[in-house]
Amino acid sequence: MSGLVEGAVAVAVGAPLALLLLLGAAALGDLLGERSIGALTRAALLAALGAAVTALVACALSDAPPAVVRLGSWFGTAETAFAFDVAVDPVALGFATLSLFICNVVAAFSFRYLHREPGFRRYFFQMAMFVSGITLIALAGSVEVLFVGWELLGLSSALLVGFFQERPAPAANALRVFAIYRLSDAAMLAAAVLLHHWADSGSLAAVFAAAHAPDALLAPGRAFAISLLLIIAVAGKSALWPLSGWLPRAMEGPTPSSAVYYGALSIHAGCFLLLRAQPLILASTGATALLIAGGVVTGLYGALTGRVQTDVKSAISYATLTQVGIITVEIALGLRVLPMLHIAGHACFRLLQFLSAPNVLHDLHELENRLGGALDEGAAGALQTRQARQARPGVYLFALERGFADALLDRAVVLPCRRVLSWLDALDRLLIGDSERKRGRPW
Amino acid sequence: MVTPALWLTALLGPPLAAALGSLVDRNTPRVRAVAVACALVSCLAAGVVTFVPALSQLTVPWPSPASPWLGPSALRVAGLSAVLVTLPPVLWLVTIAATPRARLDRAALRRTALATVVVSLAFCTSSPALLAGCWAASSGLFLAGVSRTARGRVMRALTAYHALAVVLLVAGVALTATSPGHARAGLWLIVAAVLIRKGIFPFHAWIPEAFDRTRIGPTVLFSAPELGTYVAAVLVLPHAPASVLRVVAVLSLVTAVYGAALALVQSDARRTLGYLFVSQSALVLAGLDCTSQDALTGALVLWVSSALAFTGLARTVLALEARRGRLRLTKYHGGFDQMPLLAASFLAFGLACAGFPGTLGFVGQELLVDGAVRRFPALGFLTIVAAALTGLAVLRMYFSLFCGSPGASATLGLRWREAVVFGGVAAALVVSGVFPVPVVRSLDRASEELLGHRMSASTQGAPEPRPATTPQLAARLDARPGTPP
Repeated sequence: MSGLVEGAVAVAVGAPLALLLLLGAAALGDLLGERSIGALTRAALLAALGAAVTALVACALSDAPPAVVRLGSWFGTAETAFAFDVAVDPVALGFATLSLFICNVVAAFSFRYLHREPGFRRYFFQMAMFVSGITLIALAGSVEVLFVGWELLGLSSALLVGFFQERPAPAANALRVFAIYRLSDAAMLAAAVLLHHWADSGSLAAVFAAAHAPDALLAPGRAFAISLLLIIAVAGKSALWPLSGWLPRAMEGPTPSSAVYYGALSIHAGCFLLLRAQPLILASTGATALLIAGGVVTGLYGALTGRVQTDVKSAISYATLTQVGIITVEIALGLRVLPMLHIAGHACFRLLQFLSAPNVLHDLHELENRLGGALDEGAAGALQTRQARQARPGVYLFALERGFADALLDRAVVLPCRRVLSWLDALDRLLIGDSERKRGRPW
Repeated sequence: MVTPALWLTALLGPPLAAALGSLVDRNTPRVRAVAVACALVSCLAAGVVTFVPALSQLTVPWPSPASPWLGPSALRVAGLSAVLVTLPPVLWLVTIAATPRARLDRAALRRTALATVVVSLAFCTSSPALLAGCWAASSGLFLAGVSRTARGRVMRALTAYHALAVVLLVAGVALTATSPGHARAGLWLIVAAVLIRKGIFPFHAWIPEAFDRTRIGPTVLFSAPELGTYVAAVLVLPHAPASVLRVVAVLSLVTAVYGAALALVQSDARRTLGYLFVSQSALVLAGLDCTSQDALTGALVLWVSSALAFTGLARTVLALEARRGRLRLTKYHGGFDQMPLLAASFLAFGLACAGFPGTLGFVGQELLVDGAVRRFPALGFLTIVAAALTGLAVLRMYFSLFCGSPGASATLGLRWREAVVFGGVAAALVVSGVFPVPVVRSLDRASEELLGHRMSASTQGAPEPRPATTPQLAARLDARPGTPP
């Protein structure tokens, strides 16, 4: 691999990380104003985008095969070394370029949208965390790097959902979102550790590429176990059914963050991971079938639920979910180019929709003024019409209640766990002789 | 030229001087100022070990021929001790500098100084008798520290737990030293003492109670350095058969999940802290007993990280309590805008406890998870579950303590002293998490030495494979991706 590509990839990964550290350090001392934050963010994101484009063009023009570049060693012991490996191939660089382009657009939009907002510094620090995370996910050459990106993405997402923190609802919803993300993170870490343990390699390229080979690094049973963990990780991050309940809750955050997370990039990060892990998943029939089923159910669920949402951001997010379900099926069917194009086109389209969402009433009124009358209600969807409500009340209720996803999760998982833990808590108090037996409230 | 005697004086002298000063001087703020200066000197002395090779292999033999009770040497600073010896003075500094003025009193300052002397001394020795003495002294100081607020049932319960732990440790040391035929029974007694002191399931109930019903300051200073883990590393790990270590590791992993899960359902910030500590401390012990070099190094990194992070977390809760009173997690307290630094530090400490990337906790947990899965494939995943639950509990606390509307109550901003302490510790955790190589290298050497002791002391079962050496690590790190290890 040429020095130019290695250098460009290092800049693409390093610039957002440097921005994150810089904004974090500056925030501690309240050192930077809006203009300085804007200038720094623009410089870092443009540098990263330029570097990603350079690497992509250089990679496309050269005949070099896909490679993994070691940018440096992070830490290690006598038994294990954790190195900073990044993947240099058209898929990884393509997704990194797309991500950085979208981040540049959203950052430019956010400077104006959040001007003089009390949480301006906080927003851009969390945004830098997001850009670092998505770049690491895009270019990860090892499971450790992928996991770091995955965690950065999850935390920044939860903190941005709770951005308007003077109200209790965003904080409660952010915690709910974070709970699902922790499940996703745990599954990802378990997959990473199993890969290390069974394949004796943390290299994504080595493990995924060898899954189909006759001397595959992983036996079919093990491939299924790792694929299952990856699918759980992706289901949490990309809101695949039955873990879709957090998606409308995540709309509490500022619109630019909703656009970049739940319209454009974060929700597609899972699909991108599936694309990278495609050889491993296809090596297991069980995992492939599971993925197809998950994709189909998610697509139908999103299509049905999205039609009756009463706020524009939730409606767009469910429409996004429908496409995510379709992309998942495409990946499970073994396609490679189509899902990548679908991700790129869909991410850009949803970005535009989300960013124009705050303006939607103004646009509608302007359109109606020009048309000279109100728009037809039927255009909003068949289920919204009175006839549809009367003809299919069960389906309407199911869609309106978002498939009862949250209620089912609460009843099946949260409440039993809470009951057991409260009982154990009371037992602990008895052990130490406390007869008060106060009961805790988990959420 | 730094001689061993001078170094020991610089390490242990300042806290002793601060303790004596608190007896003489009646001006409490001045006593605190002197104690802060003494703590800084002690921290510098502890940090010197890293740069002076003669000190990092320091051994002070007993004047008379050694007995099994006393061990081969009175003081020994090498490997693990060389790293851990920095913890007590740093924790002392954080404690006394961040304590609100309203809660200061000379007796408490004296006890913190004496506790620092005792734990520093313990970390500099591997003598069983000295360790037992330090253990008993630190338990006594802890009970004296909490006795002002804990009375009746709570005090009786805490005294019972700690008296039992001291008795078991002394009996275990005595049995191991005097009767080689009963060495296994002696080891079990020491293990039981460690389990009680560290609050490993089913002996964990005293820790949340201590956080809930007594003063947090003495409780944190007693718990955070994890003297119990050090005793396990020095007295149990080299000699214990694999079966004993397996039992301890399994109990610890179960406790790690149990503590993190129970932290999620608490309605009080102090009790949540208690359960989080149970979980963190159990993770460290689990790594110690996995006998894999990865897990051991991870546990040692986690030990340092969790001591700092957990102390920071507890001090931020105390700083908030000083401004708002008792903190319930069933409501949103607000106040982020008044104290953004405190909120950011709280999050950094909590995320370090949860092993979030970019903090030292991540490095420790990555190594620990990897090593634990190799030794106990099924149970190793409990570390992952514990980390996930800890992260959730921390974020729940963060949202409850800093989000929402602060209402009509005025919230005071941070004092400069608190800002320096919280910002400094949070920055240390992040910087050492981003550039962890010096910490990991020194602790990897310590774990190599511990496993070396275990192999040389092992007389039962098949010899365990010798871990790779530090040069091999360098070779691995320099290897290109894709090349076989």
